[in-house]
Amino acid sequence: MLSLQHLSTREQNILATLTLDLLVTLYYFSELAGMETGLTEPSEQMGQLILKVIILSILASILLFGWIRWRSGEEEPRDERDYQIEAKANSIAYGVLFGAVALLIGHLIINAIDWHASVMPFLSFTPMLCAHALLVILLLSSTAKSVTQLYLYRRGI
Amino acid sequence: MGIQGKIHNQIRRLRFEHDEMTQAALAKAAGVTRQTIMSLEANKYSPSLELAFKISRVFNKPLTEVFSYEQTEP
Repeated sequence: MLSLQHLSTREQNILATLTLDLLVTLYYFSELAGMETGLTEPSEQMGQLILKVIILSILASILLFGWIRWRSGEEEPRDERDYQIEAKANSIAYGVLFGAVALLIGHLIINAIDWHASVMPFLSFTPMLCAHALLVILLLSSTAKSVTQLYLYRRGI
Repeated sequence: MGIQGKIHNQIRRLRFEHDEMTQAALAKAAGVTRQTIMSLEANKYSPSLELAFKISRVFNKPLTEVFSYEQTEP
């Protein structure tokens, strides 16, 4: 079993980013699911939730990354291997982002032309729902980047 | 399919021949992180030409004595 001690500071930072991304998104959507307006319509409650999530994310980031920095003692400089791994991870994340956005655009077009031919005819694609779909796509892309980086740091390039 | 191969190195042996130089000391001398030296020794990373020259210079050896290229059948 891999423990935190076996991970370099950079890997710990990537793992923290991944965990934070997933937890914040999970929290946001679970809170949103409990609202009457849900995903599709904007509301004052949603605005308050977004503000709350932003503040929570900033505080959690300061605490988590500060703790990692405090444990490691010093900042780890980046070298050519880090840049190569990041470049590969960015390339995969871009693929995910491009593919998902293309799918969303395709779905929106089909939805606009023939509502009944849509994959999800039960959902009306309001601007708010599109914004949430894009949010999920950004999360997917960011997750793909973090997972690729962690994989390449472990397996090697 | 292109030609496939792998870069091997003698970094670990050379470190011990150089007064048991630590990975951290070599990393500092070559201007990289200790993780990169660990990856190189485990043959999990092929260095850039610049880094290969820097490491050879640290050991005061020609490049071909530190690194070798082995071609494998595709």
